[in-house]
Amino acid sequence: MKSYIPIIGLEIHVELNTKSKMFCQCEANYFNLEPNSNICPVCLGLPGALPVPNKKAIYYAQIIGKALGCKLTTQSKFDRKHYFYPDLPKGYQISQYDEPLAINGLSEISNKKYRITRVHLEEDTGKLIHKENKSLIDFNRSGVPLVEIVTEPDFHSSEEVKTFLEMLHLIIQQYLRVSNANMEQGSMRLEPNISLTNNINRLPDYKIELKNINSFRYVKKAIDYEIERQKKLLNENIKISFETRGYDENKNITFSQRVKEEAKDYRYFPEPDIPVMTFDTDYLNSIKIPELPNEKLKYLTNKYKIRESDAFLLIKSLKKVDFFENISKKITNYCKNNKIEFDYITYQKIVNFIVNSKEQEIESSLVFEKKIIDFLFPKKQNIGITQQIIKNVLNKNKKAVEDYNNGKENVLMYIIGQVLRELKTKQNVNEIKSLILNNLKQLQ
Amino acid sequence: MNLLNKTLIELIKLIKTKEISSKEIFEYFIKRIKKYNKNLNSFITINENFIANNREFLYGLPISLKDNICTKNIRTTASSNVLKNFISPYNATIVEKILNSGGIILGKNNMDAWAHGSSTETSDFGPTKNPWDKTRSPGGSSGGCTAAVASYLCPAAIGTETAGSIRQPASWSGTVGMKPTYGRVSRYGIIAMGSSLDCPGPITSSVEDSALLLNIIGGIDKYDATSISPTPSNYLLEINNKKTFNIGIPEEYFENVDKEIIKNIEKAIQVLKSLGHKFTKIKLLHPKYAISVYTIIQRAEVSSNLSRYDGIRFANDRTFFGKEAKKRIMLGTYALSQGYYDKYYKKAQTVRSLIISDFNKVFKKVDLILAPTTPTTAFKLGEFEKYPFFGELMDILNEPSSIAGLPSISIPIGLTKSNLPIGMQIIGNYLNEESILNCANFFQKETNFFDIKKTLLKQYPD
Amino acid sequence: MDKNILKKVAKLSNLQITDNDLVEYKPQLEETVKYIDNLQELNTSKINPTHHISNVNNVYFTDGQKNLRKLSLKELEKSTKITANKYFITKKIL
Repeated sequence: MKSYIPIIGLEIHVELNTKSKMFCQCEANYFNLEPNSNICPVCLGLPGALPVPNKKAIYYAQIIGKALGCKLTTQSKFDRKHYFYPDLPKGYQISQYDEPLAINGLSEISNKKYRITRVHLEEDTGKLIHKENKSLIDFNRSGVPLVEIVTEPDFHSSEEVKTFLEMLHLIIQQYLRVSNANMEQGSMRLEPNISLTNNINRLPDYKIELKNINSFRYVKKAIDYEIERQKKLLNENIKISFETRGYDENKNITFSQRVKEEAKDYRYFPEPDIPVMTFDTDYLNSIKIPELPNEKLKYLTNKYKIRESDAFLLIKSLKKVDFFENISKKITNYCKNNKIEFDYITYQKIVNFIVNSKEQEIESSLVFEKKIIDFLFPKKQNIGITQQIIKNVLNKNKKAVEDYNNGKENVLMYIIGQVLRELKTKQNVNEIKSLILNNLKQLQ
Repeated sequence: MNLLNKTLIELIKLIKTKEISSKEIFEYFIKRIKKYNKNLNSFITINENFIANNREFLYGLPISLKDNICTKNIRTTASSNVLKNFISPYNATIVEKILNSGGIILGKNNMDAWAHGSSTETSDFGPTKNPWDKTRSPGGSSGGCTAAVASYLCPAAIGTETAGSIRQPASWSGTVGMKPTYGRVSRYGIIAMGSSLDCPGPITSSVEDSALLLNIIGGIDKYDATSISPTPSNYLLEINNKKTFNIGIPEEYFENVDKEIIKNIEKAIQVLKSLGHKFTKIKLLHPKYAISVYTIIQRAEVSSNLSRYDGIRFANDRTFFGKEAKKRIMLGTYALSQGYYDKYYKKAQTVRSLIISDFNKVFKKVDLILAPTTPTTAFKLGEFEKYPFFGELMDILNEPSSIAGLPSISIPIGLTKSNLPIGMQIIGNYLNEESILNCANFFQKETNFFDIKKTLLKQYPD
Repeated sequence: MDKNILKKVAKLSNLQITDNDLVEYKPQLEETVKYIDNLQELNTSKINPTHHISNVNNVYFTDGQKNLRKLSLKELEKSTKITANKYFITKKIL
């Protein structure tokens, strides 16, 4: 049995959350609308209609490109991509062919680097609903802005793909906030190209395009299935040709959608209805992207000295990160003002507390803040009262005291437990322990 | 009151002095259409509903439109069975502009189906006849418009030109036809043929009317990303300040042209000389290359623009396409397909650059270029079948300027011995409609176009 | 332009062409193709193609503008083939 290395490249589509569609003023948010209630002559492809591009969609595509380490091109244009399908009203899709908005990027995730071939902008199609003997078409989604991200075949396992996709989702949804990037709703779509080689220096002469992976949880399953399927074929010396396959999540298999597909001839040519886009380098340099998860991770671990694995959990929610930084500042000040000794462990404790809490809890932040402060700095009980309580407990448990003084050390835990029960507020267990030991010594 | 042959400007005067109402004018044209349209077939659809619209600048006057211009309440067919009963839910921008300026849409004119042709014979609604000789074609693809204006079934019309489709039928029908700079007039709502070439423009009997209509329909449109800066000036004012120009004569445009046409052009040049214009011989790239450039680019864009007609969302399906449409789509697809794109489409767009720079060079020396509009006068109906790409061959003298997006006008300058109209074109530099209209206007003032229209209208009395 | 190329082109164009059509169109299309080959006589190696004539760049619209062109159900019923259940219908896609 030969050993095979999976060679996987990704094609990801992301629906932008602009207000308007890509080439007209219909709403980009088509969720839950009555069918065909969000269309105009442009996105319905009526005679005489013309496209005018949405400035914000272009800006968002450039932001995504920059966030993926791409070079933003100074000249870009739209092209027509021709094919006939009922959900494509004009018989061509306005997309980008040889002058996309961003190229040659690099994305680093979990210390692995993945090359981003290109990021470009295009329009979405309508939706088809298949019935027994006909198909229904809803054009509400036709013309919604779509960003396409293409990577080099730098992925070698389904795990890598899943991790990358999760990070991409995080970046686009939470950090850049340009899309909901939700796979179940269709605002993020993945089409991996998968092939196998037994020599990493020789790329395979085929690739299988996988479609219809509708959720994050099927990403790994679908890719693993396909890798195994290809392994079996190659081990039997069966040649694999270019193919598009669909994923069936119920049976967990991939199936052929079009066998022996001729390379599609899209007859690309530059879109004559839309003038060229030019961007000067000053403008491109001025496009600001927020601090991305990787950088945030480094920043948090450096500044607060928290564990990387905890920081990694924290950065999955910008809300939690913001809260963490706010509360850390407050606590540092609190300690200063109350002359409490402060060390970096406190930050780690805060992180733990936050990471284990739900985001909804953090919503009502003042209540949550008090919770943390109480947790970190429990109010010191009046020491006299504490002593009294200890004396009471020891009085009530004379046998335990006797056992301890006779050498049974584990009775101490029982005694501590009893004391803590009597105490109304949370106390520092070690301090209580030493007080108890003092008292026990005196009773010897 | 005798309305026959009155221009828009003259009719407006009558309305303003209350000598006649716009309703009476409207009914006058409806009457004439009912009398003559059956014979000429210049209208596909007629709108008999008069709605008062007294706004400036048309004060309720009727304008007819080529049937590839979308109108909300009148069907738009592009003279094809595919769109036989199609009613657009929106008006083209230029229609809105006309309505907002006091115009009324009189009807929709016959054309070559999808504007594919130069004779109005590929129409699925029958050919339009040339009012000068009903055994002949009026030209195309805006032949319905020019036939209607020539025979005074409407005072003015809006046609469209991709390469020659306004100028050539204007020449064959004896009217004024203006193709503005590409982008000067919005294409939103014009059924697309060649997206980088299509220009809506006025078809009239006077240059002043042409200027009036260009004032109304020109200007940037937020719904058309290729439309350009606002109409810079009031063309109607501009054309009455006499100017003299340097006019270039390209000998390449006089090859293989009928002798009678050349004779009339020489006569017209003498008139222009007497008006103070100077003439220079210039050299331009031979138009035979423009035919190839245009055939490839236009058909490629056609194959793309006609992809949306699949019969699913509206109108009839692709089996309703006529022969000419199918042939053009196929050649266009071929020119764009893998393996042929570089040789045909890319090469054509590159030669396009050559043609543009060729004109740029020439316009450094001259203000205007003058030439015959067409190499021949109106062909007999049926002739077009003999040619494999008739449309593109007929428009040889118009294609170079269309490819470069330049403005141009065709004006009638005489009649042949067999009483067929002869057209002369004046091409201007990019965005320079003023000079073209100015020159043409003073030519008209001087010659009254040799009373050509009056001659024809003897055959079409009220 | 042999018959197979023409058939392929017709398919790409989503046109149904009968064999009779092919026989009729073939010579005409070939003659057109022969003519347009005259472009090969011109040397354009150092020239860039022109794709846009308007001499404008960067034409956009501002996101979130009011949609003045939204089609109402009434308009769709008048102009299009929308059905009673508000969908467009096509034959089953396999």
